[in-house]
Amino acid sequence: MRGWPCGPARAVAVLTPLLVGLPAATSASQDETSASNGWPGGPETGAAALRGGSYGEAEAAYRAALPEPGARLGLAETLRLTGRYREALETLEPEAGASPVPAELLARAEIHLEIGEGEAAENLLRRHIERVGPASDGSSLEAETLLGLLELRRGKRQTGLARLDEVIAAYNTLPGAVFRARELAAVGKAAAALGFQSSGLFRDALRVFDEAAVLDPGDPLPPLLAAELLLDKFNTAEAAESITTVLRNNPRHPHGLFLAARLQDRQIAALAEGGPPPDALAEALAVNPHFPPARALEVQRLLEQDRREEAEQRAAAAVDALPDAPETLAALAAVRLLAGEDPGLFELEARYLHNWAGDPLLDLALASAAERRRWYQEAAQRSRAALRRSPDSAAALRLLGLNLLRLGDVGEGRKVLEDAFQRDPFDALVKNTLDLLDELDGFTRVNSPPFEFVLPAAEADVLRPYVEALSREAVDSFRDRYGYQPPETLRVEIYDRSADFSVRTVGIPGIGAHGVCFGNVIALESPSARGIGTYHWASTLWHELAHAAAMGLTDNRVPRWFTEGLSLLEERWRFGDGASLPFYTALRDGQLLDIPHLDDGFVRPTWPGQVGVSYFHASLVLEHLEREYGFAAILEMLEGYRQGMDTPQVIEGILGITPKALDEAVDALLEARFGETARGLEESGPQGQGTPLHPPPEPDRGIEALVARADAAPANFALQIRAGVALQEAGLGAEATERFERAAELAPEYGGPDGPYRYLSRLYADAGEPDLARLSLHDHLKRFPAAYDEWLRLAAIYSETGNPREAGAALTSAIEAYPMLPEPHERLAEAAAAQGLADLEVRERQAVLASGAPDRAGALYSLALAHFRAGNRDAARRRVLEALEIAPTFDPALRLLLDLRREG
Amino acid sequence: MSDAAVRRPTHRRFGTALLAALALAGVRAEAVEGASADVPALLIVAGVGGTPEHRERFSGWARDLCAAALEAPAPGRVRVLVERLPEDGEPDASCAPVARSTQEELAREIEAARGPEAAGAGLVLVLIGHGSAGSSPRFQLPGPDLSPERLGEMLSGFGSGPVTIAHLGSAAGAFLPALAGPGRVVLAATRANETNETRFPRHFIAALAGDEGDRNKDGRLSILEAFDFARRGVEREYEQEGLLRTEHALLDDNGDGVGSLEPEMAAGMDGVLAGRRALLIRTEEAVADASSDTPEIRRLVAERDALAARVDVLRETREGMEEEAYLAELETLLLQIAELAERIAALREKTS
Repeated sequence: MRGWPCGPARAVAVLTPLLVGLPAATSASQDETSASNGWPGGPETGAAALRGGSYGEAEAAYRAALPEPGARLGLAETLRLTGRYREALETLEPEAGASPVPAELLARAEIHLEIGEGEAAENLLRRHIERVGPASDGSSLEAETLLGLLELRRGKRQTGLARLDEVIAAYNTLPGAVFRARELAAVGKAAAALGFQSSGLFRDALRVFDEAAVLDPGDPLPPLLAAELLLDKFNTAEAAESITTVLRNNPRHPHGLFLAARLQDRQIAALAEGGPPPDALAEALAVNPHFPPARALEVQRLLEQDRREEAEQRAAAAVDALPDAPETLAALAAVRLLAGEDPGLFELEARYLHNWAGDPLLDLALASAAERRRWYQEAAQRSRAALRRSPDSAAALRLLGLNLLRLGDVGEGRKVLEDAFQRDPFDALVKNTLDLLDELDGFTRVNSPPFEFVLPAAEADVLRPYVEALSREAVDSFRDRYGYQPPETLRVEIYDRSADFSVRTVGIPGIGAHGVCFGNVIALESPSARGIGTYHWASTLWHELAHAAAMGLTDNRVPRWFTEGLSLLEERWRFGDGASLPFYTALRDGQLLDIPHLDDGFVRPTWPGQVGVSYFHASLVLEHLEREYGFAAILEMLEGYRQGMDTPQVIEGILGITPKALDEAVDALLEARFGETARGLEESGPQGQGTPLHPPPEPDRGIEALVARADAAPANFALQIRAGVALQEAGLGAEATERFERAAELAPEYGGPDGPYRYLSRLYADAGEPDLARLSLHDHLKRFPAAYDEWLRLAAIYSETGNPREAGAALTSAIEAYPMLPEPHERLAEAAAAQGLADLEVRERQAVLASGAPDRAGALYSLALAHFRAGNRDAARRRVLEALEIAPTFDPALRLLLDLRREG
Repeated sequence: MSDAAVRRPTHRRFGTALLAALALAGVRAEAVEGASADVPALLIVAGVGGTPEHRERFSGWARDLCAAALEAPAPGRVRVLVERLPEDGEPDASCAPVARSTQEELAREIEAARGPEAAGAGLVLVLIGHGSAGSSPRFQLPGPDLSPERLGEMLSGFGSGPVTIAHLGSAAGAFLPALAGPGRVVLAATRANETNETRFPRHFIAALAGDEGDRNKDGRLSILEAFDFARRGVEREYEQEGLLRTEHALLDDNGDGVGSLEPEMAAGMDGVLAGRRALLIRTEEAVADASSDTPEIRRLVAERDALAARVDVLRETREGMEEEAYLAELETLLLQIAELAERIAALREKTS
């Protein structure tokens, strides 16, 4: 486990304690217009309005006060924040013959920088420095920092680095200097930019930002810079604090809102079911419709949702508005990359590089876009290009390393991430991933071509046979059905800790999913990572392998909704599944998305539970496609995606209908199959949001009241279940049965853990109806295959009625739900022995042993006996000796040992 | 007892292990308590439940434990005390509570267990219920609660005789220092400061009720085997449910009052006495072996047990041996045991 580094490596912070709380404006900077440390002061009214985000009021106040000092700067800042960049620049143009004010030179440079006009910015910054003196005498720390950063981005690496070093040196060596907040912020920026040389500088940068914020609590710049740095390190909690500071003062600060949107993206990515956040990005763009980073983020989101046309339109419009802004150029380039428009992409790259030869932003944007589309090879190539542009970019190293891991190149990926960690040990994604890789060293690796299984050492003996057999079955099935050819190595990693799985998937703990497929690498949670009855590992593995097939068949171009729908459909066919209550309520409430926007339900959910509902919805679309157009149509659609078509093109080109027509057809199917039930769910909406169907009846009202409510709402599924549970608990079996039968009629495809068939199976058994009990269990398990205990019950019924084959099948299904306990293995071994299935008995006896049977000597003896029956004499001898090593007077084992000796 | 005082087993070097194993060889051959058919008296005390649900649970566990003990082929004296005597009598009369679990009744039953009617094989006292932590720990009984000191006084009449105390309730570890001593095995379901309701009793009862607790399959369930079975069961249960474990069972039998989390039959460790002491004898064969009137059977059983002790020694030396050589030597010993077992079985058949 890596520790976070501690202690600054350079002395940036040495002087800073002197600064806190000192009065401002003693610096040599010539900001004669500033009332408070560089933040536009000017007329009080305008400044107050600007700080609070009342831009209209601020503009009016500044314009009215234009002859007054500071009004020009205040007005320009107002115009900049609201995206009127040209007007802002014009405002600051010196009048003919007048000498430019240094503060205005700086402000103009910052505006040019924001809209990507590097050359103009550079000229202005140089003029500023000429006017006020170099950094070495403390006069132009802001300008020198901006210029140094600009030089780095424009490919003048050595000059830029030297300039930033000078800024820090000046800061450290100027005796008795007292700095303004903006100057401190500039020093912090310089320190952050040099952080790759010495990790302590990152910490120093944050410290300086904090001190600047203390010095001028109303200035949004220091917390904005801190937030950006923290977001870059994936420290979302602390970034959120800084963003909140900015937005508390000015809820309409476009940069603050943009960072809030970035933060929201992180949280959505990590916690997809976390709930709908307000749309900070839309708010940012409402304030400043041209803010380049926000425009780029908007395009990125559209691309994530596979809304390619809209993405292209928005990106092109943004580039038209501000043709040099690197963020929007990069966004448009990403659109072109994903569309496969190479000439357009080359043109943009050339245009970008003309101005920003040393800035990896475009390559990183392309790498990220490719990564989000699961084009990991492309992402790795683009990350390498970013590194050629900027060899010290820890972000590029992170992207490269993570994508190499996704491609299965663990050795090289780890090396690259180690390199990234050297440059930036505060990057949480990198640290978490390296810690995980350290842990993986202790995992068991099983090479079984084309598979490479990576299993928790303590669980490997239990999991291996089932994981291996199921993986083969799945790949064989996909080979037959889809013509899928697995790669040379298909790596399957299983994690016994949810946090480790989450780190493998998104770099941070907290993801809500159970499995992920990167194409040729699959990761999923071990059954032990979750409780019994809640997680079905086998269907998850099957689901992810289906993704591997769909991604392999389309060169990773299949859209999210299609591959999720296909995977769930495959999963449903193999294991069964049912509709969830949230699905019914979403259908009832018209919350299901249309097909071209179905990806949104996965990548940008807007209400809790939408991801799960979207899975089921997508699988129903795929089911409809296969039924209506035949399986060949699905294969053709996959091929269409491989060729780069988007969903509307695939639908129109292959199915010969419009997306709207397909939507209507699917809607008709859903209406016919689920509509009546969904409408009958009136009043049961809240249960659809995750509360159990059957909380105990309200204590003050009792069963009678609950039954009366259920009587009054005979179409209310949840109420029937709740009434049934209450009646069953009160010993009123016949009445309870009636309720559950009614519920089963209402929602025959309901697939929750507390579905009516589960209760009915018990009630029928109690009523002496074993056949009905068995059928109800089947009905329940078809809809909720994770019900481990019910599989065991079903197996018991079959055993008791003399059906060992069916009992064995039920026990196998129990193992597919949860293989970590000895019981199903023990019973399956017994069933196998009874049927003379020696190999199966051996496998199950091995599993009993591996699953930690408390009677180890007994388990070893039984395994020895199974080997003996299977004709494996050496293995039998070995195991019986192990049993007797623990229990030397264990009579049956002693007899087996004698038998082995006498026969051998 | 503070957590810091809990002793964990440490890795022993080979030489020490060998010495320990040699010592145990003697233990198995000569000094196994309960090698005769005499088994200790079992006194089961269900304390105050606090709620009807807990009262029923505790008395139910007491009943289950009693029933499991009486299932054995040669059960000893079993007595049950509960918080409240059932009004309609017990369905299983053999496990009917003999009295309420007050201090007075408890003292009376303990005294009776060492009186002339007792078999002289000692006492196993099982406490089921709620314990309290703090500077004055208590086990909750109807009437005055029980302190470890008071319980120590009640048991003082046994001197260094074979007494086992199994406190299966919460904060049980707090009783351990006061009750530890020569001849004593003290088993606690939790550390002193763990006050949540315990799961240990269910697993402890399961050890007595089934075959799986008898780890070495010798037909005698030792205190150590029952403790290990229950401890592992609790660990597994918490692990499966993904919960942080709030109970850590302890055992002391070397008299130092410091419980071990993982006792074992190794010299100097907690676990040696508990490994020797039978809680109950589970199989007819073991009863027959222990009480046979046939000198030849007794001789063969002794010979078999001596060979089994050599297996113990060999096992302890495994790390220093080549795998195949070890297995060959093990097999040789085990085949001798197997042949003896056949002869014993044949003689049993003949003499029965």
